[in-house]
Amino acid sequence: MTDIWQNLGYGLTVVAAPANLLAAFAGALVGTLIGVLPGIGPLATVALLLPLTFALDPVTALVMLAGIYYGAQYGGSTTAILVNIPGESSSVVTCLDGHAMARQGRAGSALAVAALGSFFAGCVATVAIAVFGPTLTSVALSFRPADYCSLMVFALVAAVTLARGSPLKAFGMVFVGLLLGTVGTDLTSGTARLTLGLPELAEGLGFVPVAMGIFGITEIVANLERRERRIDTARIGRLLPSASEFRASIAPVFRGTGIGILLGILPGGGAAMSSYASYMVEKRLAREPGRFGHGAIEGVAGPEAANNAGAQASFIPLLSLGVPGNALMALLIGAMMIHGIVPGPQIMTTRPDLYWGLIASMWVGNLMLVIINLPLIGLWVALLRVPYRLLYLVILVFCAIGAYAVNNSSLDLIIVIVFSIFGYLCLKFECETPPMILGLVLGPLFEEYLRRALIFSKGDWSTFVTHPISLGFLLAASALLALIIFPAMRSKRHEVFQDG
Amino acid sequence: MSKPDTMPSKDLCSGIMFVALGAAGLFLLAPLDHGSASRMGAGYFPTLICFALLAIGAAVGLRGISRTAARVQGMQLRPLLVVMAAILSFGLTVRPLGLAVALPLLLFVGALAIPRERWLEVALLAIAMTAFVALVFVVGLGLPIKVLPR
Repeated sequence: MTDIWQNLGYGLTVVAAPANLLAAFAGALVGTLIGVLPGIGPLATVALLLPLTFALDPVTALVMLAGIYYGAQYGGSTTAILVNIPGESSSVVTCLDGHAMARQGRAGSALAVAALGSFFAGCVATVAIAVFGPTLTSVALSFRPADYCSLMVFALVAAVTLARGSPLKAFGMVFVGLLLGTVGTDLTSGTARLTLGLPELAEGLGFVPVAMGIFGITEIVANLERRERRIDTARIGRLLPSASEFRASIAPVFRGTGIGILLGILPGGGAAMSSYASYMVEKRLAREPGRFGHGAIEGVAGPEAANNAGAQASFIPLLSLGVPGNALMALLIGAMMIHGIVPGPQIMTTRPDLYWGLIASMWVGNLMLVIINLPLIGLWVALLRVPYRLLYLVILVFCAIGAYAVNNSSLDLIIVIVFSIFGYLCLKFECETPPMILGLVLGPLFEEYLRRALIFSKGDWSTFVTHPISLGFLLAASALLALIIFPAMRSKRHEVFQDG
Repeated sequence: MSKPDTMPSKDLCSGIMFVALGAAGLFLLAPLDHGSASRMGAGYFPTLICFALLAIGAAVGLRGISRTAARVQGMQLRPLLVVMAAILSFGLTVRPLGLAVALPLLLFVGALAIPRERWLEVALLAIAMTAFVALVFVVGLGLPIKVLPR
C-alpha cells in the first residue's frame, strides 16, 4: 500500500514543475469555461486544442487536456443549476433538482454541494486510479495477442451499446473508423492501401485533422443552426449548504463516487453514464422519491460526485490497457501517439513520469477547480451573457489556429473540410461520431493483434474462444449485445436515458 | 408540414452512406494481395471491414424504407458553407499574408453565418483577437505563424 503513496508522491513532484502546474490550471480553467458555456463541449475543445499541444512536453500536454475533461464536469453543473441548461451531457440530471433548488433560492447550496462533492469524488478517484491502475496493468501485461484482440472487440462493443442512439448505426460508424484507420501504408507488407495514389496519405489520414473536422467544426455548425436562447440566471444567495442539507448529501456523494469509479472503468462509460446511474440509484434509495425533481439535494450530490469520479476513472483503461473508453480518451491516445508514446500497459514502466504525473495532476486539478468554481462563480455567470454570435467567432479563431498548427500541407486542411462535411452528414443522419473515432484510433492496433493472433494459431479462428481471457472478453461483449437485442433489456437502457 | 415529408429518411441515407463506403473500399482494395487467415495480406482486414459495412448498410437502409421512418430535417447549407469558406480563406491567406490579414478575414467571412448588422462588433473583435493570438500564441508560445505580410 505504501507503494501507492510513494508513487503518488513521485507524481506530485512531476506535477510541481511550473509548466505542468500551469498546464493543470489552464486545463481546469478552460474546462470550467467550456463546461459553463453551452454550445461547446470538452470533446470539441480537446479536438481543437490538440494541435496546439504538439510543441509541449507530452506530460504537460496530457495534464492540460485531462484538466479540460474533468474541469468541464465542474463547469457544466454551474449552468445546469443556475440556468437549467446542461453545459455538458453529464450535467443533464443536475438540471432536474439543481435548478429546482435554484428556483427555491437555494442555488448557493446546490453549487457548493456540487463542487465539494465533485472534489471529494475527484480525490477518491485519484487514489482509485493509483490502486487499480497498476493491478490492471500487471494483468494486461500477461495478455496474448488474441486476448488483446478480444479486449478491443469488447471495448468497441461497449462503446456502442452504452452510447445513445441507434446501436446498429453506431456499429456502422465503428467499421467506418476501422476502415479509415487502414488508409496508408500497411506496415507488414509495405503496400499502400486506400491512398488514392496520393503520397501524402502514405502515413495515414492524420488523426488530428479528422478529429478537428468531425468534432470541432461540426459542433460549431450544429450550434449555428440552432436558434439563440435568452439566458435567465437565478439568484445565487448563500453559498453554504445548511447543516441538514450537508448531512443529506454525504451518503449520496459516497455512493456517487463508487458508481462513478465502477462505470468509468467500463469502456463506453464515463461521466455522463455515471451521473445518470447515480440519479436513478438515489431516487430508488430515497425514502420519499417524490421529492426528486423538486429540489432534493441528493439528486445533485450523487450525480455530481459520480460524473467527476466517472470522468477520472475513465482514464484507467487508457493508462493501464492503452484502450480508450470513450471518444475523448481516444483523442488522448492519439495525442500520445503523436508524441511517440505507444499506449499500452507498458507505459507505467517506460514513462512513469507520464503515468503518475497525470494521475497526481488530477488531484491538483480538482483542488484548483474548487477554488476556481466557488469564489469565481459570479464571473462564470457573467460569461453566460455573451451572445453566441460572438462566442462562435472566438471558437472559430481557435479552430483555425489549430488547423494551421497541424499542417504544413494543404492536404490536412482538405481533410478537415472533408470530415466537417462528413460529420455534418452524420449529424443529420443521426449516426454517432464517437464510435468512429474509436475505430480510427484502435484500427491499426486491432489489425496488428489480429494478424499476430492468427499467425500464432496458424489461421485457426477458434483461438479466440479457446483462450480463457479472450473468451471472457467475447462473452462480456455478447452480454452487452444482448442488452440491445432483447426488448426487455432495451427498455431498461432507454429508462436510464430518460429522466427518472 | 409537406417539406419534411419529401426528405429521405435518416436510416436510408445512413444505409446508403455505409454501402457506398464499403463498395468504394472493396473497389480500391481489389488489386491488393489478400493472403489468407494465417498470413494476412494487406487487403485482408480492410476487405472484411468493407463486407461488414455492406451488411450493416443494407440492414440500416432497409429499416429506413418504411414510411414511418424519421426523416432528415433541418439541413441548412449556409452555416456549413460559411464556416468552410472562413477556414479555407484563413488557410489560403495566412502563409502569404500573415495573421494580421488572415484572422480578420476569417472573422468577417465567419460572421456571414449569422444574419447581422453589427459589423463594428465584428471589426472590434477582429482587432482584439488578432492582438490576443499574436501575443499569446506567437510571442508567448512561439508558434511559427507569420503575423505581418512581408
